Amino acid sequence: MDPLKSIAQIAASGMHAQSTRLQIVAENVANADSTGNTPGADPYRRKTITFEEVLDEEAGVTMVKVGEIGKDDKPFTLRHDPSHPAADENGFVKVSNVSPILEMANMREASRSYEANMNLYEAGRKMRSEMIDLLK
Amino acid sequence: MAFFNLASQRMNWLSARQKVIAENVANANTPGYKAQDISDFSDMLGSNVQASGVKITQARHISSAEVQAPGIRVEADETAWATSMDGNNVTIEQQTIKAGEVSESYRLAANLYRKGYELLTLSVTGNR
Repeated sequence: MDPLKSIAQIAASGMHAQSTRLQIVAENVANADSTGNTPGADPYRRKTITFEEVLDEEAGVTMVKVGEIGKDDKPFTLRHDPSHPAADENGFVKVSNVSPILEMANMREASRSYEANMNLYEAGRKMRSEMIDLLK
Repeated sequence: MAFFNLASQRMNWLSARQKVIAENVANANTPGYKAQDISDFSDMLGSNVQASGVKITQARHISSAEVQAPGIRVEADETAWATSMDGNNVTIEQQTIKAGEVSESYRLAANLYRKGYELLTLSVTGNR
């Protein structure tokens, strides 16, 4: 396959993967305060995402895809709040293991990587377009 | 004149493909919608089918509503990257690159057609 054509495909697969990553970050941030509603219940567990390479045999290129969306097994922290519905007999509520700083860094990285892929696509497209313009 | 025929067939195929891509993008949020693509260009060249759909043998027959260009079949896109929870497998990124690819290829075919035409004009009139 024409390399300049395959660049578009690879970059788009990267953009798709990064946007899924951003989706996971958004889910984590939105659920950072989600707790259980019965005594001692588990709160929201942070989601993680992995990427893996995938070979497109037809085009002969290596693209990227979302591997697995997993759960972060970091332990929950406890907060003292006896009036909360999820408080245990000692008055402690389990709070989610989402770290806002980590999510923010992740968000930045996802958006920068998306941009990088977009630039690559643009570069490939421009080269191809210039080549076609040679016919004029 | 086979060259002109080939170029216009190519453009026909590309516009049919662009139409299918537009349909996919339009249905990007339709639950259960499956992305579609059209058969390869080589299939179109190899086929001697003159028109798809039911053959019309009498003037009073009703023609099938969607007559694609000869030799073009719309089929499910097997290369879709991901299916979302609502059963839709249209990926905007994938459709966007396809649309870009189609429009570039169309430009290439149109440029080649024009080049051929210029060549013909040159040989007939001696000036461009």
